[in-house]
Amino acid sequence: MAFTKAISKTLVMTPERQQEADTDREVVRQVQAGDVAAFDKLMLKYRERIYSVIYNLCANREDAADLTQATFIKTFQSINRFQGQSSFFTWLYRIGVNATLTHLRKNRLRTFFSFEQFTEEEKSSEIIDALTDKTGADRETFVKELQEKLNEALQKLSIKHRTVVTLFEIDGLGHDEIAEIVGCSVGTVRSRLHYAKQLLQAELQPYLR
Amino acid sequence: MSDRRSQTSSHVSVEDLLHVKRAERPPPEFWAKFESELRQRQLAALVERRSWWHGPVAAFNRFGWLRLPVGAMAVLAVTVVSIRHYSSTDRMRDDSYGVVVGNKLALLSKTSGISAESKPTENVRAVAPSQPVMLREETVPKSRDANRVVSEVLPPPQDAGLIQQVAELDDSAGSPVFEPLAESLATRFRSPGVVDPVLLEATVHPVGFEERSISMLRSHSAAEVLPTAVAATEQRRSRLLADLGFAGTYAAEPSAPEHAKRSVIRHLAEDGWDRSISRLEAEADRFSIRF
Repeated sequence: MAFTKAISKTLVMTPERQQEADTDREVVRQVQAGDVAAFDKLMLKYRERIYSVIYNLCANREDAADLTQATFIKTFQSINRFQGQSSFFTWLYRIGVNATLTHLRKNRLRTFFSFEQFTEEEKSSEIIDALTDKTGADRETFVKELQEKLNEALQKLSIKHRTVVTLFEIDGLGHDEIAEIVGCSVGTVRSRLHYAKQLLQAELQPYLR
Repeated sequence: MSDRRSQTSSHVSVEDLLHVKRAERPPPEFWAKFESELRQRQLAALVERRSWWHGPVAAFNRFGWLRLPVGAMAVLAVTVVSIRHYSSTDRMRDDSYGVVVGNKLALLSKTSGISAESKPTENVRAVAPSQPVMLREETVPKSRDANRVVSEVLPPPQDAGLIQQVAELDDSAGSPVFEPLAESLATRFRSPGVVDPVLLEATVHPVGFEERSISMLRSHSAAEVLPTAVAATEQRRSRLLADLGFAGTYAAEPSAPEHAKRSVIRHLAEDGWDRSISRLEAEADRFSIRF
């Protein structure tokens, strides 16, 4: 059953993803063989993506840093149990998402937000330009305000819906990958995504054109 | 906000807004700190002493898929063992009771001619109806008043040899469970004017005792003994209540003896009434049969 599942996942993977998964598997094999330094390659490759997902889920940079470290430590401790039935990054994401969800459920009542600094990029600059023609300090203030509003809207979603939106819209994963990470069907992922977007649309109406 | 809307014209969707979140990144110096902290935590995790139960739990987790079937089997096994244990305990209790009574009655059968090779439960069925006390469904205390009342009702003794045999049997009986009954039975046989001729006949020649017992009941003795014995119980209860300082007069339920009598007659009149005996009990000063 697991073998069939792994085969089907492999078949739907794009060539790039497949190559990436093979490279990861090789590095994992080295770590499993006792080459502890090889784990650094995996950590350097995925730390930003894992951090981004966790940060967008919990909206606190200190907690995100702590949980990212915990994710890599747990991955390192249990890497011998990784059998290669799924890709390494899916497995790593699953560990990270589960750790974050556990943390969020434990600290449901404690909500303290701290934001990362906004890094101007081509795509994000275009969006900001479309929203405002302010420049200088006014533009920075507007970006801060937008960050807060986006964060507020995301935090109004349930943990499940927030996870799906974060993985799909912010991290750019596919439906099947999200389904594997979250542990539900692709249909459920689509449904959660649709519902979450409806809620976000209602919350962010003043910014939509 | 309205200013912004008027100033911009291009389309912005939810997806675009969420894309802005991608631009939220930590500065490069953050990762240097992150890496050093991770190294420290990694080393701490390596040298951390794990609790003794980590090993068994990890081993058990490897067979996590077996949890459900193993758990279900365990619950099923416990249920089956419990049911079997309790049913066998009940059966043992019933059997041991039957054996005690049966052994005693097997001793009785030496004198009365009933086959001692038959099963204990059969002995219970066979001998029980021939005993005069079995007709009391209500509990009759072993008091002098009650014995006196019974002796007044029953005709005088006719077989001194049988009385002697029963007395010997009573002396030789080792079972403490049956002693009070045997004692009372022997006392009753010893005392003059107790033994019913029908009872003697049923005890000596037990074949066809069922018909005789029913006819005996229908004729006079049992039907008369029962209300009298119950009345004696009520008298005793009233006396005890008076001793305890109970001011009011105690009135027994008038229908109780009548009801008990009818119940006994109804059970005895049925075909195969001996099979309807569910419990035969002999305690300190009472002997009771439950149908």
